[in-house]
Amino acid sequence: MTASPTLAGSTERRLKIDGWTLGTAAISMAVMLPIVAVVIIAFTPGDDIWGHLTSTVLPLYIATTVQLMVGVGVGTFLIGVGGAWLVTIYRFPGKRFFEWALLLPMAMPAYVIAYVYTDVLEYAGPVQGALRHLFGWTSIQQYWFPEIRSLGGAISMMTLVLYPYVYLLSRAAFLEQSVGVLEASRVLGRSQWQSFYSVALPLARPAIVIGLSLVLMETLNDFGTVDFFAVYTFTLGIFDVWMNMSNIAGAAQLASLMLLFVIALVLAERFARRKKRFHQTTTTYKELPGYELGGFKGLLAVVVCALPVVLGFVLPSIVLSTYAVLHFDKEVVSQMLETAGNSLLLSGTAAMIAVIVAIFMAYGVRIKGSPVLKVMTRIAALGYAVPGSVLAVGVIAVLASLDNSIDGFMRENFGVSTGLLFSGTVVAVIFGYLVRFLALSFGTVEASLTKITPNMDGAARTLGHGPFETLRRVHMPLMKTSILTAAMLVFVDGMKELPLTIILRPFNFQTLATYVHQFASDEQLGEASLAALAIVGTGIIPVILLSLMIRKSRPGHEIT
Amino acid sequence: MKGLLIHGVSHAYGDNKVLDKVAVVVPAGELVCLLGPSGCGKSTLLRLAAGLEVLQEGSIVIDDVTVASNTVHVEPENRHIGFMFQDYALFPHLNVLDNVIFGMVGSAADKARSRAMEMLDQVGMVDQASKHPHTLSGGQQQRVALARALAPEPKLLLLDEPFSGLDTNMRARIREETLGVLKEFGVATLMVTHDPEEAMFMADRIKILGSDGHILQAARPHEIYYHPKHEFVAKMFGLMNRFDSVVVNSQVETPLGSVAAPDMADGIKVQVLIRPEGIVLESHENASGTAVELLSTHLLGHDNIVRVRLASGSSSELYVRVHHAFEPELALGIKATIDSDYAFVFPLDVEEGGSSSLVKAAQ
Amino acid sequence: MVELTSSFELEFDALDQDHQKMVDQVNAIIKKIDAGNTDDCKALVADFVALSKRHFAREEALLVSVHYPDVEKHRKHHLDLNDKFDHMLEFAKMAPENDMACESLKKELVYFIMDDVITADLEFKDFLSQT
Ligand SMILES: Nc1ncnc2c1ncn2[C@@H]1O[C@H](COP(=O)(O)OP(=O)(O)O)[C@@H](O)[C@H]1O
Ligand SMILES: [Fe+2]
Ligand SMILES: [Fe+2]
Ligand SMILES: [Mg+2]
Repeated sequence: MTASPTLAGSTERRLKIDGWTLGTAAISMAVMLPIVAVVIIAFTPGDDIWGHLTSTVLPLYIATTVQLMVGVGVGTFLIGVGGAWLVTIYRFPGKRFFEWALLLPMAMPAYVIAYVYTDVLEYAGPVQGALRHLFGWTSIQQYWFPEIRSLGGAISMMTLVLYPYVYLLSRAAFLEQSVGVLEASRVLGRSQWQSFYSVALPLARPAIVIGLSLVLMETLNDFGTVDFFAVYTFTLGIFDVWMNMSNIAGAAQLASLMLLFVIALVLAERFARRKKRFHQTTTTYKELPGYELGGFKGLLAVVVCALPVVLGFVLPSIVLSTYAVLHFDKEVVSQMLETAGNSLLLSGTAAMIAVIVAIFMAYGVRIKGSPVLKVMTRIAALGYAVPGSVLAVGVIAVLASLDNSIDGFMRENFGVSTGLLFSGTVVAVIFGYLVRFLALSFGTVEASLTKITPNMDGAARTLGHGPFETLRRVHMPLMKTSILTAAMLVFVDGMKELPLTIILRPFNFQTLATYVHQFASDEQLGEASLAALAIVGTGIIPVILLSLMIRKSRPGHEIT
Repeated sequence: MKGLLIHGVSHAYGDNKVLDKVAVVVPAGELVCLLGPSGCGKSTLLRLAAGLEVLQEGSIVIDDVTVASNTVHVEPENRHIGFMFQDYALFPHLNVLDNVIFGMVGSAADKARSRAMEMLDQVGMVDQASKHPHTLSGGQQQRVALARALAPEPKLLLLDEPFSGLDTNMRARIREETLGVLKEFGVATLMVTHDPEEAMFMADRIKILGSDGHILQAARPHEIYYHPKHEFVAKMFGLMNRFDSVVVNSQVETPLGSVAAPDMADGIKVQVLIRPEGIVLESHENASGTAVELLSTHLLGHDNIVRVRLASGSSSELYVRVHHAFEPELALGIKATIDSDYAFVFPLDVEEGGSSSLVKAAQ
Repeated sequence: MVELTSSFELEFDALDQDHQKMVDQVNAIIKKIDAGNTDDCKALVADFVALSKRHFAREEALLVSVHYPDVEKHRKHHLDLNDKFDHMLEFAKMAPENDMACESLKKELVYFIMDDVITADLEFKDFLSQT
């Protein structure tokens, strides 16, 4: 064959080394490693404590975890769906306010309100004190008061701060439903309640399931609350086996068992998403009916909406602020600033890396379109479902073996020992954050990328720009807002993060979260209240953004 | 040869085979139009030519350089082609001028700028240079997209349904302007569309792509319209009247008279397709032809569509296009004949004809 | 002017030579028209038609002899081109009087040789190279 001349810049198709594919695959693999490591350790024979575990604590862990999940699931469902239905369908005083105010408890980490309520409700706290004073009781034997440091308490705390996920998603689903469907149901003779129960709820079910699965992932992830309340869930069990029994394999075995719970949740969520696509058929919007609730009913609606906001946000904030004022001194402020600096450093770096990585991965999948790559990025983005304690086990394992191999290599070739390069450094924490929060940045960036028509790529490419230039000059400017949102989401979650940080942080290194945890555990919430407020303050940013987005996504507005 | 050569190109998305051994030649300065129904793979072929899709089979040569084959894939940014997308794909974050400058990679900033302004002048958009795309009308966006595609002086221009986004009254004007700009540039152009009228207006040569992904006919617009080689091609231009019959002595008898079928053997079952303008109605006294009765008329402005039925009582309706002033109220004793320029004979398909032994057409 | 570059070669000498002869004939006609010499257009085009038909016959025979599976399809393709011969001859007849006929004839000849004849033949290029 006489080959026709080819252009410079053309590639021999068969031996093409493709940076995007390789890079995307490598990053996905790096992020998948800790999870894989957990499973490998768990199935490595040797120091097998399965038998020991099953005969002792395992049944307790399972029972407690299941009870906690059921409790929080039911609680968040009732408050989230109920609140969403009220503010979407009815008109009552303060409805516009509650639309966004119901999101506020999202800013509150569960462990923070757990510390606050324990402080307020325990025997020595102001409430019981006031009751004793009022009724003249002198000891605990004379009256009954609920014990906050219990499974029930943990369920309440988590419900109060996690229901906004369900609220957010079910409200979006209710807004999407065409009024026509609801009106048709009314015309066909169903009451309002029946319409809700037999039409609106089933239509919103996929969204609600997604919200609930997010809630349950957070529940599994929680360490601060269950540790403080001594509620023996899997997460606490992993800490226990690891820290107190120094048994990494055991911790890994517990962690991999816990992954089963996670997998079930992820599958439920994926299944619901599939259905969701099917349900989202209606595109015609109409202002929802807004049935007027007057008099007593209106008042009841206000109370129902106000209760979770007050209990989940307003009250704890007031308590924290009061403590902060009472304990305000130079020492507290400088401590707070120092830990806040550490938090900023970790979360900021993680946010930046997570966004860059997310852009690279999402764009790599977009331009290469290989199904294998797509699956890999999906798996890489699963970190969000994996509890921090489990990830920590994996991250430590991965970094330790990396350190060991570098050390071995250096000793062999250069005769120097590098020791532990990454383990127990901020690099470990940032890597942990990256694995856990990549889903947030990846999801945001990917969603925004899919909104850009492929013809934009085509136009830029045919106009003489390579894939990287196209990304820089076309996609990045178009995704600016989403990139910022993605960074912000990772940043805020990093600021709140507790279990990963506690395990992976360098010795004596405090972030706001670990600082609050440490002081609160020592019953010194007052000293840490300023730091806790700082966490809550950061957490408010996404709440504001979310409520703005809800405003904008109203009929007639476009999300940009 | 300067220009574009595509041959043997087949393409499938998974199991969905969209192109089957497609070949196209666009000599320098010529405008070839690929005409086919929606979903037949037109955009896919353009994307392959541009390098936006990786070629699976066949080869693509631009100005004598193979840009895609089973061993070569030149990236789109190295092919030096212009591509105008169906949705124009103007960059929303850049103003009109910067959109046009975007493709002038490697030329000095001031040169690029003055060239871009020249281009905008050519398409009459200089005044809008500093505006952002979303503030422009569809027609203006189309012009900017054309200027942007042509500014880097591509070797080849690819147009994907360039006028489909425009409303009807604007389309004719923009079409004419575009053709003017293209002729002035003399760039080899491959345009795809599903609109036969558009193709006939623009093209030096039309290639018909069938829904099964292979080329059915390639010819001048005139030949496509007056000598369709395929039932599908004949039917592309709208409503057809149809009589089924059999070839006898190279003639096919229909209720409106006989039609010649020179290349067909006796006894073949055929269908005769007649364009609405191929049935001639006359109502004066010594008119010849078959008597028909009038059912209704629909005035379209430039012509009438008249529905008639054979007076002999056959139930089949015929559609007739009448170009002169026609007042049905004044018509009496209408006779119909066939204008054989607009009548085409095709063998009946096996399934339709029922008998398979008679099918193989011309031989 | 038509130029038979390597991308259009079948790499099968007998056929490539035929094609080259046809291209030469097309170029001769175009050169005549461009020089304003249209009187013998009719004869030249008639020669070209005859040349083409001979080529088709030779090509079909060759395809049969090498057992090309789609030979019937290609024969049908050649047959479908008969209309085009008629049109070329009509244009050629009008060429001395009508400038548009000259232009259309040139175009028709170029597309015919490049697209209808040679590019269509490229479909069996790979098959021939294997036999
Ligand atoms: N990226 C793709 N993946 C899968 N199928 C596709 C893709 N692009 C197009 N198709 C399918 O290929 C067929 C041809 O598409 P296209 O080339 O866009 O047709 P046209 O432009 O003629 O309307 C359609 O059936 C379409 O659904
Ligand atoms: Fe040939
Ligand atoms: Fe041939
Ligand atoms: Mg298309």
